[in-house]
Amino acid sequence: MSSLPRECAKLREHLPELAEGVLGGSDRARLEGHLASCPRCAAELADLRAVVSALRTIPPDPLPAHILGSVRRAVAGRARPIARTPVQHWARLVLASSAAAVVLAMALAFHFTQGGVKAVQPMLAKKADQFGAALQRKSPAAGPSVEVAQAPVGAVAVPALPSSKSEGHGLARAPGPQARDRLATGGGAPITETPPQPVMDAALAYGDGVPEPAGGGAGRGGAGGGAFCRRSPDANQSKARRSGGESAGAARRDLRLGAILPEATAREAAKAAPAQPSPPPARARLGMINSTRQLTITLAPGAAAEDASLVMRQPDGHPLVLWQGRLTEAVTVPIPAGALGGGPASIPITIESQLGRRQYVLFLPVLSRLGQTAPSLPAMRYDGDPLGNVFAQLSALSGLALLVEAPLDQPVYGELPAGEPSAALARLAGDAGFQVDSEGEIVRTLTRAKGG
Amino acid sequence: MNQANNARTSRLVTQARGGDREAFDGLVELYAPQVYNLSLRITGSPEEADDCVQETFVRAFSAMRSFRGEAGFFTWLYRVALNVARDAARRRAHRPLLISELAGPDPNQPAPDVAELARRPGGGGGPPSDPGLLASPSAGPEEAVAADRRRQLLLAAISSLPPHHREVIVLYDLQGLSYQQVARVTNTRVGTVKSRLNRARLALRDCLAPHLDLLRS
Repeated sequence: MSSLPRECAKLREHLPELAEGVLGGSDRARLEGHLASCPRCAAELADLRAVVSALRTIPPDPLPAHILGSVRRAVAGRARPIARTPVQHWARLVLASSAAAVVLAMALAFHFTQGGVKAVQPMLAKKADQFGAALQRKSPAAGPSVEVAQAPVGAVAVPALPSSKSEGHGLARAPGPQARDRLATGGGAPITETPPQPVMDAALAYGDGVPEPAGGGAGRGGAGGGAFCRRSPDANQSKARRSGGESAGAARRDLRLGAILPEATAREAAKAAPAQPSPPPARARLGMINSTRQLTITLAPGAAAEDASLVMRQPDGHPLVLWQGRLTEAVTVPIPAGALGGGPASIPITIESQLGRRQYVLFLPVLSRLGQTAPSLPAMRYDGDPLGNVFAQLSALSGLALLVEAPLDQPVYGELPAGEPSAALARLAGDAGFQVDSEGEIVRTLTRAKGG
Repeated sequence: MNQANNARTSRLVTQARGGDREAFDGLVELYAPQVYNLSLRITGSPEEADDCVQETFVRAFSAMRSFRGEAGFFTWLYRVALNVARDAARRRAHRPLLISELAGPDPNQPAPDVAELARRPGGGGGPPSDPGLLASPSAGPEEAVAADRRRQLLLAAISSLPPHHREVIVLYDLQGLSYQQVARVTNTRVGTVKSRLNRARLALRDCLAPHLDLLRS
């Protein structure tokens, strides 16, 4: 376009109208005069005529036979009555007013009776105790219920993720700049700052299980050298209560969000965390998928070589082995181009080794085709799709990719029931310590909110 | 014929505004094909289009009281349908893809062309095409294949346009609305519609440049 002569560039705007035959008046005369002396624009007009003509030949698709019936059913089942008579309208108003009056009268009667005051007093005292306890938990002297450390944007690591359903669970994540702002202003939890490091590799830790302390649902800070954003036992207990008991709570933890943290930061956090049973060491590092669509798996320092494989598990369960062999130092695995076609993509990945097998779903907000890299990746908000919204935001905030651990015997995200994406999202995000509002927006990034 | 249709539509609309479900069913029968095609081209997915049609008519039925008849019912309904389809398209665009949706024929191919886009979910849109759709009834198999290819190319190119441009192309070129109708449906001015249409067509021309010979054939 920039190489077009000025007159061509100006008149080019009118070419589609001329191609369609709807351009008239002085514009038409001027353009036709120009076309007579400009073969380039004349050729473009011919092209446009071909395009417009071809567009008009696209026939409408036939209406699928079932649609009329399904629309009728939907209208009958979901639509509210559209016409009300004035009598109905007044009847509703009278009923609503009466109900409000009754409720108000009962409330006033309760308030001014001796019994009511007596009933309220213990409740108030209990609330005050709870509030005091909560304050104590939140005070710096008492130690935070959540510790958050800063990781360099773009560094990817995976925390240890508990595999036992009875375990507590926590979140380790590396917030990006936007998350830093929110963390710093949002919750008041201490933020352990570490200088950004130019590491691009990641530590993959296997969550082989941390015994759950008595009392249920303990946090597992520092587990696997990667998890150090820890949820307090109280938080887990309250969460279990909210989910309707221990079994329901366990079921909710079937899918867990991994975190993205550099190994050095994770080590620091592990040191700062209270003593917990030692987790199994990370055995491999899972790198980011780079702009050439390659994923590097590196043997963790000190880990023994082992046989492993990288498997893409397709929705029908059929595994697609991307790489299989002996992991001695590092291996680079190409990822299919379609995964990087723009927008978030999910790749179920199974990491298998002699010592264990874990399945993850790798979410990629990679925009390699646009030449963008993680540090310049803006925070993304995806309206209308809560699940995509959360994952996109988590991915953007945390650097580049997210791993979601999924049990091998249960479907991964891509196969979650279509009917309740929001419920599935709430479970995933909730397990990771995120809260999601009704529109799918992450409203808070601190797990401590749940404990308080 | 047109007048008869208009009279019938007016009668059905009046009755439906009064809560007549059967009259509304009549409107559904009249307009479902157009709403379906609009939704299909905007979302690029038959399944999404299916849902969009339902949602459009449910919303329309619920809001019939607010329809005052200043704009034509058709325009009003299209506006509802476009909003529903826009939401669906946004959701679809940002949804993580399944692995089965990702694989192209050549994993090492750097960037897909419009033909590849057409094969992807959300790319071309519509169900597997009928090879004869763009070909004349007497066309042979070769022409039918070429016609299918043309259709795929065009739909993929349309789906690659930015949403506003795609909408005007779909409404004006594919659905045959006038400038004024497109302006009312998209809640813009006629001048804006023309401007977007011009840019969209130029973009299509650029996008389809390598395949123009096929389009002309």
